[in-house]
Amino acid sequence: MKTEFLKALQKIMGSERVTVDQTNRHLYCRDMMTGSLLELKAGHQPHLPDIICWPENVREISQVLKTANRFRIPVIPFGGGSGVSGGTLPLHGGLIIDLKRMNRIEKIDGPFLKGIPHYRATAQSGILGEHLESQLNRKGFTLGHFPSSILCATLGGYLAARSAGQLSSRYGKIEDMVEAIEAVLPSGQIISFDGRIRDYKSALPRDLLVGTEGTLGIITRARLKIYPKAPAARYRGISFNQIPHALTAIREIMQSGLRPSVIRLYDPLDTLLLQFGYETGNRTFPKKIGKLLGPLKNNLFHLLIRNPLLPQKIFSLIPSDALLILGFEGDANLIEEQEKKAIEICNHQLAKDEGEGPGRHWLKHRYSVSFKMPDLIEKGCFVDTIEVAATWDKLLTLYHKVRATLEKYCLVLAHFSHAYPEGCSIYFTVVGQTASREKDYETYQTIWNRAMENCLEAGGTISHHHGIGLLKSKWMPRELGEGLKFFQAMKKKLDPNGIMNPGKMGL
Amino acid sequence: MDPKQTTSLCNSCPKLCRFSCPVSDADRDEATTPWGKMSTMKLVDEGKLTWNPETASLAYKCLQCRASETVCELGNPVPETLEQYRIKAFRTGIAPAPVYENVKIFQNHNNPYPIDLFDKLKTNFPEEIISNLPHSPSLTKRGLGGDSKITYFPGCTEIRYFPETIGKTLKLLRGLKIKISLYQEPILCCGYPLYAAGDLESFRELAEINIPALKRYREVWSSCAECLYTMETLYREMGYKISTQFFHVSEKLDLRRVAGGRAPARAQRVSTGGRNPQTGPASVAYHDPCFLGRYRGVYEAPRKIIESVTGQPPLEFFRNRENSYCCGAGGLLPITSPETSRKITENRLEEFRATGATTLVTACPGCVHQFKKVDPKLDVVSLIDFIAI
Ligand SMILES: Cc1cc2nc3c(=O)[nH]c(=O)nc-3n(C[C@H](O)[C@H](O)[C@H](O)COP(=O)(O)OP(=O)(O)OC[C@H]3O[C@@H](n4cnc5c(N)ncnc54)[C@H](O)[C@@H]3O)c2cc1C
Ligand code: SF4
Repeated sequence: MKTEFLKALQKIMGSERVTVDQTNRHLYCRDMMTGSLLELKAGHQPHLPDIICWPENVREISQVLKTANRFRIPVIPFGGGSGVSGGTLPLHGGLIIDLKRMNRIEKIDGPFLKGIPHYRATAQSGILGEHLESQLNRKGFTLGHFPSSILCATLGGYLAARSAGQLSSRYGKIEDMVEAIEAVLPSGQIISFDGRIRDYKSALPRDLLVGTEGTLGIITRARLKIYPKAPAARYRGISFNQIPHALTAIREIMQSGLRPSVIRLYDPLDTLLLQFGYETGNRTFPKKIGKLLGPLKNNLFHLLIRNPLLPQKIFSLIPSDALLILGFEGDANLIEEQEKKAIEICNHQLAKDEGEGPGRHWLKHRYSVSFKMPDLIEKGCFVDTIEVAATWDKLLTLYHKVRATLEKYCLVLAHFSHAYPEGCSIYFTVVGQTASREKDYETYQTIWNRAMENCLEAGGTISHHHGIGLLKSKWMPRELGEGLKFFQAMKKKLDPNGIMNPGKMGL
Repeated sequence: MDPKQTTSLCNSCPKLCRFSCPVSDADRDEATTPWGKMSTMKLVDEGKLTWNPETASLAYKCLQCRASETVCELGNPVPETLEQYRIKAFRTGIAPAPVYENVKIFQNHNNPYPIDLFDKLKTNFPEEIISNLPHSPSLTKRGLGGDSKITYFPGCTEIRYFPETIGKTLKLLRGLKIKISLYQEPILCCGYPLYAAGDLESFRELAEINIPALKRYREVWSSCAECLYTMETLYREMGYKISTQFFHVSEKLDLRRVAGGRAPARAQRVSTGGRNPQTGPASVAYHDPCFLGRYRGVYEAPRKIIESVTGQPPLEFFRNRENSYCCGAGGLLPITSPETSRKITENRLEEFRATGATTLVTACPGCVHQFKKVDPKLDVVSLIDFIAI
């Protein structure tokens, strides 16, 4: 059966772009979910795909899906493989469709009415985020989407996992940026930008497929809103000695109608990492504390990581601030006024304006933290990030609950980012180390179980922008409630043979 | 550098440098990302993949351009690590076939081309250039370095493809009253192609012949920064002591004198409106060669030289200086993966066209050759050819 399937694929694409070789099978066996790396480090067997292919156009994808359906072969779309929820894991083997050969910006158009700027770009889904943004920049535009994974994620992955960038408060999440998509359904049906889905004629493919992580079809192109690059930007650091005060300030800023591009609050421990992780930049902490905690970088670090309660206890005794990074982009005069107003709001909450330094420092190092992760893993630790969200009334409870539970197992840092008038997301970073990689993996699973339970109990949502994938799949019934039945019904209708990315998203 | 550590580090990384790697940009898969290449080597070391021509070939899917290393905030040395696996592949006989063919040519001719470079120098080169040098050896004293303190090392690619540029270089430098001889040793290649092939043994043999010859000079100048890196860094890394100093010609050109002289014909043409006045003023864009830029840190000198003769700074590629994008000729890629190499060159040329310039100037004979090979109609010249009359 597999040989026949392979032959059929080779007929569609030629043998050059289809492979069953061992090297590629191993390289496509995971994404960046910490769990799969820990599993491999602990010596578990990888989930190897059987075949990998690299289509170059939508027609090929359509034919491949038709054929996969005929042979009942699982199909897993693969963008950059930077997902952190196990979305691309070939749990049941099958075919990986790597979309990166479809990587062109096809069109940039606009303005559509004289004098009213409205621009858009049409791009293929396999383009890397950084290439998309820099190619737009060359023409004077920006998409405004800056996830920390911009260097390694694709547009298709952004859309499939509902990604959020660092400037989301101004430009929105990816689902706010996309006007239309072209996609291929499991049956092989191609839905063009203006096309309709046979079974759901009233639903736009964009609304139906964005965020479904390859379980309902493959996104092949997208038409995106883009903007002329902002003429000016301002960045600042503001410190608060109480997190609740800071959160009140953020809520008031967002509810007042101000549109910061960046609004991120680092809790005291994360503030420390933000400053100690890098060599330069302004520090809001007194030098003495810096010196005291400097050895964190050395051997003591491992000791503390293995006994997380200890540093957290010590740290809670040291008076330290939470740092808010506040940024605005746009017309120079307008953003100056906006910044003034935002600072005023902060001042009502006993804030201290730290000036431009910390803001500029953040901007310069905003992708640096991603490089810390492999370094820590190689130093024998495990690291992961847990991004949840809640409305303002539940946010602080959620923060304390998750934090207090996880502190027993690992060092917990958190920042509040992606703020909205109605609520905000919390991004926990967990760093731990146990006696062995197997134990690391077990602890890691406990951490996730506890975090998700606590989040749901506190009334939060289990995913703000990293998607569900395999990692959070088992909590989908509680996350979606009755909504899951609708999702399952849609899946059954569109993908009766269940070939698309099986085992993900609670399906 | 412990390859076990460096490959493991990449394997734990979310492929943060993949966007910068011209090879993965051209091939657009996971295996040819720095992550993929390094992970494969790790999996081989762990026995999860076998060491065979297919896995070994990934060690050769690298331009050694250091783009990823520049982006990587951990500074993980991908090309240097992959080099270790090239050495292993070469020794175990499973390097790509063209690598062995290239080494064979090298062993027969002491350079990667099937020609005698010394003969080529003799036939293509005006006798006056060689003999007219202060304290320089003459052709008859072949093999002797003479007593000139500074010598010009042309390198194999320049001799093979651009012999007339060597003449222009020496003429220009001597016109600027620099006492410089032409390096006329029997071997006229630094051996980098052997190093890139992973044939460490032959590379070492060649280095041992070259070093005593190089030692005779206080300074060695070249237009090829790959040669400079080989002689200045790789020889030393292999444990050889050599106090000679190495410079790229662009680092040594006296700008005031270049600018003060009569503006060279070509530059004049460029600064005064190009060949065809109908198409508007012609302009120049400068491409940073990897070995001159990322390896050697020379970014501004060539730009200033261009500006000193045209009166304006060159136009910039979108990816320039430390973010420059390889021309596609590095790391033996043109012989191991010609299609990928060509695609990379095309990508870079697309970026050149977007600059709006009509002339592409660069400071490496290898880059000039690669660009010309892919687009014979392209107006691409070396820095010296651009400024020398
Ligand atoms: C260091 C790091 C930082 C990160 N920071 C952020 C961040 O700031 N914001 C954020 O939102 N995320 C972040 N992420 C998570 C991740 O980068 C995003 O989820 C991203 O959108 C995934 O894109 P990708 O192309 O790598 O997708 P992949 O990992 O390849 O795939 C993700 C899921 O989408 C599916 N898929 C991929 N392409 C398609 C397609 N064309 N059609 C249908 N389904 C498809 C896959 O099957 C899979 O289920 C980060 C990850 C890392 C490793
Ligand atoms: S070179 Fe650096 S950025 Fe690139 S994969 Fe390796 S560790 Fe990551």
